[in-house]
Amino acid sequence: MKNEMNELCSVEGAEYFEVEDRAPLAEVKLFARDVGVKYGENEALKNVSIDFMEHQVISLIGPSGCGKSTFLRCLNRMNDTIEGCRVTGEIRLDGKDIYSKATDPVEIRARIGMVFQKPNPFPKSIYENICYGPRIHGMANSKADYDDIVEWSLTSAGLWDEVKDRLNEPGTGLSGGQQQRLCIARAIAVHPEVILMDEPCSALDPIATAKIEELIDELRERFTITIVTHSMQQAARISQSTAFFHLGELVEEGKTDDIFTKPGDERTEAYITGRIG
Amino acid sequence: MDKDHIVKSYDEDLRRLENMIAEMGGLAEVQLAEAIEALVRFDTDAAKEIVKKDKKIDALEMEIDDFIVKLIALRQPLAEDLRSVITGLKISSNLERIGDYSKNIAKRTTTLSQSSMMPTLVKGPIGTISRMARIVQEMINNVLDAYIARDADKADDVRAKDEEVDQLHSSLFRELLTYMMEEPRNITPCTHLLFVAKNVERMGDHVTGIAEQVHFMVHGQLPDEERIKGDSTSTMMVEPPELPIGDASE
Amino acid sequence: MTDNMPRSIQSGPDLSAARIARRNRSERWFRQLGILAIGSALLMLAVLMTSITSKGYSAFWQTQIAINVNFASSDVLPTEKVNFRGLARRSIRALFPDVKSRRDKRALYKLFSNGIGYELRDAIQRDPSLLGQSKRIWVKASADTDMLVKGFIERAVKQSDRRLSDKQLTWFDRLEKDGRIAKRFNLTFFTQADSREPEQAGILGALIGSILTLSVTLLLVFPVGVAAAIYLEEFAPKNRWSDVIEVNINNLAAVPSIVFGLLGLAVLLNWVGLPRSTPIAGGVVLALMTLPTIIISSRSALKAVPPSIREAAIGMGASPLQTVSHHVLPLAMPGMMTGAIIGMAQALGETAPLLMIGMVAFIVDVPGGFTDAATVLPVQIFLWADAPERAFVEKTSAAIMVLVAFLIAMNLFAILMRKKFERRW
Repeated sequence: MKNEMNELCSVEGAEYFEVEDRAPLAEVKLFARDVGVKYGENEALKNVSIDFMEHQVISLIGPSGCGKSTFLRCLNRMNDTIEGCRVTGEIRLDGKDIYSKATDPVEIRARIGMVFQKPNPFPKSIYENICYGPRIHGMANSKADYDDIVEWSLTSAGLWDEVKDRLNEPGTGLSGGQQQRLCIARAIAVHPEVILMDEPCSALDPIATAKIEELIDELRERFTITIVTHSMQQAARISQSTAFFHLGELVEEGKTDDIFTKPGDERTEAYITGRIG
Repeated sequence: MDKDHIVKSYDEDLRRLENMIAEMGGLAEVQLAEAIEALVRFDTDAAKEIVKKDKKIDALEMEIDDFIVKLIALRQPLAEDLRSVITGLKISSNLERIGDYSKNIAKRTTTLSQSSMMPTLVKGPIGTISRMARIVQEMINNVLDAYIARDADKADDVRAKDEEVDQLHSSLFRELLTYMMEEPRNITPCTHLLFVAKNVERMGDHVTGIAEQVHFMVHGQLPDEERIKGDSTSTMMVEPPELPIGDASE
Repeated sequence: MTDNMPRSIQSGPDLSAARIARRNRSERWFRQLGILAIGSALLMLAVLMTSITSKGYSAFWQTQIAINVNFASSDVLPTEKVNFRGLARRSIRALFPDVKSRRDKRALYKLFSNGIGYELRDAIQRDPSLLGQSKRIWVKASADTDMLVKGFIERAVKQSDRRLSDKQLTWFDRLEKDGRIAKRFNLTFFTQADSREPEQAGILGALIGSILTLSVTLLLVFPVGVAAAIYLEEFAPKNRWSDVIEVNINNLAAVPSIVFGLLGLAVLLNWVGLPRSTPIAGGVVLALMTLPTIIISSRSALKAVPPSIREAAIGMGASPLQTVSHHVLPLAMPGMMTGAIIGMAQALGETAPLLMIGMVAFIVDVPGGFTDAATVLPVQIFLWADAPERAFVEKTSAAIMVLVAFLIAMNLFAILMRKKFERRW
């Protein structure tokens, strides 16, 4: 099964590369081949190959401990910070190998932003939260530049109207949903190409969740988005592609429409219909 | 999928849906059998009884619809569960139509029993009709079995079986036209019989529809290959022998 | 599910009044125990503080005696050459013309501090217009006189068992009758260094010594400790070596302080050649002693910073150093400051290692720099507690009060700093 999947994926990938003048949707932004992760002796992930299409939302679903978050963290080298974590295989961003020695992880993380499960604004003002990325990457020269960045980012994250009068108040004083949108605004302030989201709504109420989902759908026009979620309904609502992970393997990846109506693999079927957890 | 859901009451709901469909299918099958029985015996009392009993099928369909709407709202089924629920919805509406056709046959039975020409027709056309009905009955039975057992092959067999019904219908069509040409008094009963035959043939089509739904439920897509159709009545011409032979096609 | 439910579960929880009463009783009992514990701790502290204060408060007053000094004497200037001691003695004798014998004169002088010559010199230096005038001047009484005034010398006791003879008592009574005895605020205690004479001994030398020593300690230990903690916590690979280092740091914190004193003696004084008895040597030794405490507390402050903040920064593309300096360090700073203050307080109260490097010496000058010989508050307390004179008893307690005040001031400063840093939510 695993080999079949790999073959399938590589065949599809080859196609996307050969056929240049397809619909713009078919551009591969991020490309993972045979990615494996080991924590010491413990193999957390093996042989994962996925193509991430530009301007698409791809959901990674699967039971806890299936390796989906681990895989997500491979994509912007967040796993570098974990002791004893070894990544094998190949991940390319616009064709550039992000794990090669010549690649600076800081550059990768600037190009591939991340939003975490728990909203984690810095314990600074809303304004400073947004400015932090542009500041460390030397993106602005004047106060006016920063003002523009803050306004644009907060507007894009749908938060501007709610916070424009209290930009100097602490970001941690916002509600959970607002904090998460602040984190998204902070991530897009450095104009990344890909945004990774690790269960961004798991701590939020349904209304806040709906706002984030709507936001993700809007952001798709500018960014390529990958989201790990435990809610299958959420994956179904917001993503164009869905990948199902189980026990450290990529079981199946395909169009969201297909995965949720007629999945190709029994394990996917069992998971999304609530038969295994 | 033989594994149970983690939430046991979800399994119970799905089983209840299956049971309701099976019950409805059983009712439809019995209705058809009794309608044909009444037709063969010119039993107007039985026919009236059948018309009454159709209400039960209608009520059951309503019940299934409500149940499915609730199920979708509360359980949000996905993948196979979703397909099975949607299939249930469609099967129930098909079965309801089958019930309606039985009722229609029963109504025509009352009319036909008043015709003096009927005894002569019993052997030929009515015999063919009851043969058709037996096949359709068997199809209903099998397709419900296939639905319960999630057996797409069996459903495909049912689908193929419809060809026989169609062929019988075509030949009966020709036969009845011939009867009508022979004797104008035959026209009224034969026309009614044409409708009865058409009803049985339509039942076969509905059962085929159900079989296709069962296939979809199992495989996630409708059967690929085009079904072989045995029904040629829509292009059939039968001319009286006195007239010059036209370009009547088969 | 209920089929095989054990009977004990089926019967449900026991909600009887007796059980509830028993539970409430033990709750109350435990609370009272807690209050009792806190109460006894407070009581002991109060007893300690009362005892120290009651013994020490009198040290803040000092007996002074007024004498008439005639600065008009021809031999007053230039000051360096003048025999101010002689001037003082002449002035004393003038008060008691009937004292003739050499022995009695000496006994009379004993009522006064033997440093009054310097007091007269200081008075004329402070106010040169006194020159050519005869003036009533308040000078320090001797420690024995002071003790008499403060009631520590019993007149009823046999003359041979007293430090003041009957004659001296008569003289004192005459002075008192003339209104020449007064209790004044003891400025000397806060402006002078140590002395053999209790009435001339002060705490300033030790206080300055402590401040200088602690500055050296703080300047050394805080940057080094924080840097070590940051490296160990945020950058060092977690392997056997880092475990070994961690265990050793923890062990180092438990090493008796005298060992650090020996180390200081062997390495700093004998090998590096730092000057003995100086704040710089003491500071380095105390820094070594405090370092493990600072590292451990700084590490726990760093550990307490939620990892989500680090993730957020790294996820934004901040380098590890940027992550630490922009986010982790500011958040850990209050905790680190608390640790530093605890370490400093420990260093402030430390005596043993300093004994080894000669800071126990008797030093009469207020230290002016890091390389001047100095002593520190706890050592001063130790020295005074050891001194035989009755007058040093109250000085000892007063010095303890100063030390405690210093500690409280440091803690207040720490709390203020923490508040200031924490205000950035």
